[in-house]
Amino acid sequence: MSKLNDALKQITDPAVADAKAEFQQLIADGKVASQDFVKASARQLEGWIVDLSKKELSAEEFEELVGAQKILAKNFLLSQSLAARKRAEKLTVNVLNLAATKIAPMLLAAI
Amino acid sequence: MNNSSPHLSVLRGVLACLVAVLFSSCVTTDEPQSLARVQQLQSTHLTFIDTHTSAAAPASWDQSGFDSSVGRISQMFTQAAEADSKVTDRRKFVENSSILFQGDASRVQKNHFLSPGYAKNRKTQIQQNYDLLLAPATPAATGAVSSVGTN
Repeated sequence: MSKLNDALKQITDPAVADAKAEFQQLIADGKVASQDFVKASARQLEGWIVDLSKKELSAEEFEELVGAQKILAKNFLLSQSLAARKRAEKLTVNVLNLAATKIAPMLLAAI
Repeated sequence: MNNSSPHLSVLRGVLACLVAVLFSSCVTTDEPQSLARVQQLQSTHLTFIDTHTSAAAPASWDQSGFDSSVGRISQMFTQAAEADSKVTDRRKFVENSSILFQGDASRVQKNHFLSPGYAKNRKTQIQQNYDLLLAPATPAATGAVSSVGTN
């Protein structure tokens, strides 16, 4: 998590402070979720954000990986009961959307 | 006229219906064949990524060979989706997996290669995607196999 925190520290715009905090919380929750897919997805997204901050992934590659992960999440959600689906969706699709729409653009602007 | 003809005719009709029902149930519940098709899609997609992974664009580019390869693989996805057309979740899974392949095909079409870093991440994703169906690890996902994998 410290690598993620280091990456996110580069985003200093207070306008996205809430989004940053929400993102960190969703990643933390995802990493301790009971489903292996949700755990793996959170770890991967964390890694991609770190790689993006180090310019080891291009913005385009990041976008494609996140887009593909959303498709994987849809396949995962097909297997979930209705009761589990909402929580799982929050920890997969929603956090991926947050990364793509708020975190990554601000990170790219900061580095 | 033979008095048994109408009975025979009815019997033939019943037998024909039974054969039709048996045949259609075989087609829609042939789980091993369906899983084998999905496994083949997985290995084909991973091979496609390996084939096009490189540190830089190749010196020469065979567009017709690439088109032919993408066409053949796309056809495999289409046929797999059609074969599972009556198993809604399985069909959706195959269609979503096809979208993942098309994403890679578009990227290779555009750049003529996949960078090693991207390919590594992508292969992890593809493995993870197919594991959802072929090698579920958690109790929740195991339950999924019955919902995704059967009629």
